Amino acid sequence: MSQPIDQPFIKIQDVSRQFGTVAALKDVSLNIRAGEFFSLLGPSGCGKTTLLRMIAGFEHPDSGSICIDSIDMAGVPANRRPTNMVFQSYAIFPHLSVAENVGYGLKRSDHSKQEISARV
Amino acid sequence: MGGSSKSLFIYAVVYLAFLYAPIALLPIFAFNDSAVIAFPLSGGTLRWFSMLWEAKALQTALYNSVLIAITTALLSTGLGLFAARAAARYEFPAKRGILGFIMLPMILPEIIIGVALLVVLMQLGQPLSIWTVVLGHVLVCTPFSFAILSTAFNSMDNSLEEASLDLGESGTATFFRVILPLVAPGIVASLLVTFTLSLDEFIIAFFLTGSDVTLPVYIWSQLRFPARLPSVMALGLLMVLMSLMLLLIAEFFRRRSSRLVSGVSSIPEEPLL
Repeated sequence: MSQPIDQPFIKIQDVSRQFGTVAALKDVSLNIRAGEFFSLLGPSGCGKTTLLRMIAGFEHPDSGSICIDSIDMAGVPANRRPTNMVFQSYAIFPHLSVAENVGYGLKRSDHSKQEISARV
Repeated sequence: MGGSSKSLFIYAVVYLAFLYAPIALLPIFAFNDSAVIAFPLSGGTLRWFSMLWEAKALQTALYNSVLIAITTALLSTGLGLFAARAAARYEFPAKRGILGFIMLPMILPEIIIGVALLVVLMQLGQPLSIWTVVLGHVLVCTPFSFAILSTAFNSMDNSLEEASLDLGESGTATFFRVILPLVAPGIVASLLVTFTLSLDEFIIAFFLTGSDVTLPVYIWSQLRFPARLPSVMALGLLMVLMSLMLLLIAEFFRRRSSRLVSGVSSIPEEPLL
């Protein structure tokens, strides 16, 4: 995030997504700056979730592009994107304890057990 | 109302007696000191059980059956796991047709499967062995495994998997850290069901077995000798006890799984078995 504050951090350009005969998104463009608190409002079924899922990497636009920090996210899978999302159903892992849920993303080879428990 | 509920009660008792009374005869005659299976009883004995202990052919048959059942359970649950995961998560061409083909052996008469496999194996010049029986059993057990595991996969919330990816975990690691633990009770249930199915399967084993007979085939061959009948009863009693134990284990895991998943997503309350 070395660029000036008025540069868009997330840049969405002419994004469209069609589900069967329903057009969920049609030529949506918007810019979000770093540090900005951005709200997306609208009635149910207007495409908020679709857009959010596209930024997170679970849906792919039929046309248009999504850039985060000036990098095109087209070929980047969800687990390599610098995004985090809270799911409608919360998606809390039922087989793990509270601490294991909180520390889930940390538990990879580059984090030791002590470090995880300290950060949790 | 009193009259009708009373007659329903009698109906239920008769129904249950008809179902389970024959099994109750097993322990009675397994301990009866007479080679003839008939009343009146003529005193208790354990000699049928000691006869079992000495029958080496029976022990070989039991060993064959258990080996076949364990191999079948592992293979069919493995195949069912892949198929159920693909069916629950992905769309691909001819999906319905492919899934139909997977379920087909469940409704095909076993005698047809047995004869067809025998013809094919003969044409290929493949000698019959334990492994040809495993082949036939995997074919009929995979649909059951697929059905059980499909329920497990469908009752899992998809966003759990997405949440794991969102937190930066790779696809493979997500499978082992999230998906596998959540469907584990289904895997255990599938292993137990396919093990049981394979253990007491007769028709396919009868067609595809070579000189290594399985337990049901062995029991069938023993029925020609009336003197051995009581020891078959003793064997039957041991097998009923073993099945009951497996059933209790399966039920334990099923209850644990509904406790695990409750509140996040629903799992059918009726028992799997």
